[in-house]
Amino acid sequence: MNLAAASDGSLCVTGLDRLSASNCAAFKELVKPRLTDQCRLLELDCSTMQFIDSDGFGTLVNLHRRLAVNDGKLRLKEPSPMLRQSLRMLHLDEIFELTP
Amino acid sequence: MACDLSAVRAATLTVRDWLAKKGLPELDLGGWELVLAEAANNAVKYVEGDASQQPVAIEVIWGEREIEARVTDHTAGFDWPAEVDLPDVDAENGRGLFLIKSLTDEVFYLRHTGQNVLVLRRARPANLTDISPTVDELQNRLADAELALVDMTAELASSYESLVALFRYSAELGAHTNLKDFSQRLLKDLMQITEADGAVLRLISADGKKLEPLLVLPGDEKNLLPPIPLNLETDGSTEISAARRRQDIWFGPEEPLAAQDPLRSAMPTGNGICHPFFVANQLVGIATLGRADADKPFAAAQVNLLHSFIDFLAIQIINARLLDERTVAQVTRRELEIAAEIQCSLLPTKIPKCPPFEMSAAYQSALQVGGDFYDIIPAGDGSLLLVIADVMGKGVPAALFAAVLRSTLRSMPQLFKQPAELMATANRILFPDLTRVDMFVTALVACLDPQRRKLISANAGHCPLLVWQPGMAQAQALGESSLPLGIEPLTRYPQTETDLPAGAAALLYTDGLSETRNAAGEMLGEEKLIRIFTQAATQTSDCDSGRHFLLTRLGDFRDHTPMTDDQTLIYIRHHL
Repeated sequence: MNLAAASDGSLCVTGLDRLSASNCAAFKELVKPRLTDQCRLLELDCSTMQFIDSDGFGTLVNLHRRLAVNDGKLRLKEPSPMLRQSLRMLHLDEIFELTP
Repeated sequence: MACDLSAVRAATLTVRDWLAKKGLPELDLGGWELVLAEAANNAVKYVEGDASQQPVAIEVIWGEREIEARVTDHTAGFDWPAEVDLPDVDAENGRGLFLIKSLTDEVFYLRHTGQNVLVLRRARPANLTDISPTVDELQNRLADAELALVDMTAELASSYESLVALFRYSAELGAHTNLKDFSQRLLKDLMQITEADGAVLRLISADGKKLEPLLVLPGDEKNLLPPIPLNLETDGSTEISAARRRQDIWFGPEEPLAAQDPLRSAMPTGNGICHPFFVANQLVGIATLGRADADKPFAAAQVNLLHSFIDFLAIQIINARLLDERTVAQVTRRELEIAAEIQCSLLPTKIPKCPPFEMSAAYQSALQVGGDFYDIIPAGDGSLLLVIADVMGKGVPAALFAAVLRSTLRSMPQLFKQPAELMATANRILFPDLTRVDMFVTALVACLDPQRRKLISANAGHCPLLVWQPGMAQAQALGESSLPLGIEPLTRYPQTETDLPAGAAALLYTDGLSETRNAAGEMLGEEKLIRIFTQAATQTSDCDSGRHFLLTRLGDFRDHTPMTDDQTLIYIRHHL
């Protein structure tokens, strides 16, 4: 997994293949300290993401809430059809930004 | 899979690959993977204690029209909600059950002792056809199906038998009060259903320190099987190991019993299982089943039966114990009621007049009825015999001896004016009976002579007589004491004569007064009691006020601490 910060303060996570009960705590520990008040965008590249479970979705909601404090947002880039279906089912597509 | 979050991924991928080979479309594969991950995560996250050592099982059945998955967990289980609502979009938890419910057509959560099964069903996609299997595959499937059918038939048969047996036991519960007979029938049926050749049932002893044999089958060899202390070295007894680890222990060719294990002498041990059983987390006992055949271990379904039967038995054992305890408590309570009735019947209903003296008496019973009593008997010529005594003991025996002492003293009116002689005679009469039951009595007997204004007393190991006379700064403890009644048959008792001039006060009391304790455990003591009595004598003018003053001050000292002994007193006042 890679975590890159852009000059505008946004963060981009790439190369993550799953976000589940077994790794979501570690993921959160890694990302959350980087979500500074200047950070307005966290982009998660889902092109390599094979699996997210309810703990993973909970972690994304947690990060979204942190970002929302400073009017930031969470963007999921290229989610798979399965992931899109799950997000729709959980109405999380209403709070995350999905890009094709 | 191991009961570990890191094992969930591999397990669900294995299922996914298997379903993919069946031709399930990608979206369905993703759905099953997610559903099974949620179920397995819960099975791992909510397991407690040693149950985490047991694996989580995921079984998937490819049915003709639907796919069924069963996830077996060893958690305490929970009630599957009638409705599973989607949590608020901002909530960080609570989506797992919703995903399971949304991605399946049917969900059942079957709870059982020690394990639960989540059954998930979802229809196969309508246009999905099986990839044509080869002949070998078909033969393998047929063989698998036959094996499964044999297992299911055996399980169904034993489940039926066990259910019938449990219903029968439930019906018999009211009729059987003998726990051993009941246990024996239950264990014999269990042996038959599980095809065991032997069984041992031990229960924890009343002091909780050892396991005592209740049954050894076939044939009760209980006498050959000694109790085993729970602090025994564990390598000496598989039963103790199972109790300590709080989990089943299997033995057989690969894990043979130690040479010194007591089970070896009690039952066939080719194969077996030791099952510790608990109620409210407290060890109740150990049930062990054994087979002679070393090549035939107990099947999982048979172990489930062992658990079900023994769980049922454990509840009956606890019920029987509670019934015993309740019976003992009822007997004890009735005994105390009888003792209290006897004690109250001994007390004088009316205090005779003895001018110029007046008297007031009190008897306050502690929770445990003791052996205190007092008596006031006319002694002729206007005199009164005053008796205060404390039988060493509690309950009915003490109350009965108080009654005997009262009758003995009352039967000798000719000695009422000679308290020392009265005491010595009573001692000679009562000595044999008191010695036989290892009891003794302390007593103070006094003759109040209104003509001579004197109190003539004799003391048998009792609290001293307290006397206050006008002009005294402090009351005095008077009279020489001798041995209590029932210690030596020929004890002689010194006799003391005390003047009670106008205004004087005297107190006869039991040690419940001087040994009153407060919340800090401090004892009042004789010195403080003398001080309180002096205040009563100097600050009150009649005997009822004096008695009330004394009891109030004792209550103040105790400060709501419950009394540990009876308090009895006779307060005498010479009218001014």
